[in-house]
Amino acid sequence: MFRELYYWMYVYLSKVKTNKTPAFSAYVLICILQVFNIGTLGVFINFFSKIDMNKNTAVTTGLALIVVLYILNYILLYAKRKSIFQEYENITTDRKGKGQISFWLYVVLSLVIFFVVIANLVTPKY
Amino acid sequence: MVCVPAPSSADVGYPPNPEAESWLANYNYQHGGGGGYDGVAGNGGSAWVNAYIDANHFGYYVYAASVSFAYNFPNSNGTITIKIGTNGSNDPRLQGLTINTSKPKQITIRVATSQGGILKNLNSGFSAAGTIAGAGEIFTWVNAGDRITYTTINGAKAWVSTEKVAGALHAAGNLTLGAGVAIDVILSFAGEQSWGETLLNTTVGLGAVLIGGVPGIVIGVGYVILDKTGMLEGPTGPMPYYSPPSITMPDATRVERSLIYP
Repeated sequence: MFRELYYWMYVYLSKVKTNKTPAFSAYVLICILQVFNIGTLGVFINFFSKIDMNKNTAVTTGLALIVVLYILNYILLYAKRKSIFQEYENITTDRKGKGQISFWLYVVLSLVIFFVVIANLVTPKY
Repeated sequence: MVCVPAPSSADVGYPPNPEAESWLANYNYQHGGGGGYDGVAGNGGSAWVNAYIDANHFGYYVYAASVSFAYNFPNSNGTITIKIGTNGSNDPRLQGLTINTSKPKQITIRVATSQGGILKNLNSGFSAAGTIAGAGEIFTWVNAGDRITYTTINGAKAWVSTEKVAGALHAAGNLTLGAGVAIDVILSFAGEQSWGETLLNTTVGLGAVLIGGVPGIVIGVGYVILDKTGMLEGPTGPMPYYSPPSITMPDATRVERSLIYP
């Protein structure tokens, strides 16, 4: 699933003239979106389990999470980028359309759902 | 044992909660020191916990104006323990002292003088690291030729392509920006940062990664400067009293000049 999302992220970033490393930027952005997904799931879990996390723990958790995602996605996506790009360049036009729609749905919904959930289900401590 | 004087409600900034205070009274929470209960092993001090409490669905927050050491005051059957979430530090700016109790309630002691402490610095550090890496990339592109020569440990000359160096700096900038966004997300998840601030930081971070190159760095650096210098925050003090200008209608009053000069 993320292979295709990575491919479409790369395709769109390639069109940004100022971005000279679209493959790497796409890899970082996929990692960030995954953080949002995990954060959303965490909010739902925390709503029921009520885990109290202080600031230092939050920072440590955030860093640990992103490092793990960086490593995993480097191995699974970035290191195999050439084969991924070749694989998805040859798909049919219909399939490309579906892939693009899925990509944009994933990006938009990941962000929107996260912020809606954060705004409504998290008790502020600040 | 060191007892810190109890702060006033004005110091703490939260109104007393009689229900929660009476609940705490049952557990001897008003007074620090004495009793021989020194809390977490290794932390022998004590402090006064002020019972100004703010209730929410997690239980109660106890706001302490100052905490000199880690401590706890278990009741007679010892069912209450206090965990120190700040590595036992006595820095009153740190937050996160957590009390776990056998009762179905959770209490978090918060230091009223919170300034962000380690977190703020760490987040700023990440922003700065990303900024420096990005600025280094720009500097390398502008000032270096096709190759960057250097001397090896054996004294021989070697070179590396400028593109490779700039690419490494660019990657470092992107990775740190991503880490900053991840920290923001988890802070929101923990309720320690408003979703609005996370949205703003995320938008800028994602935008900088997406745009890349010099424009991305300009956006990232500009935001970091504005954010860290406090320019995005509202006024902290009271607003000066504003009196609207009075509107006076001209009338026909005429004051004649006196003919007799003093």
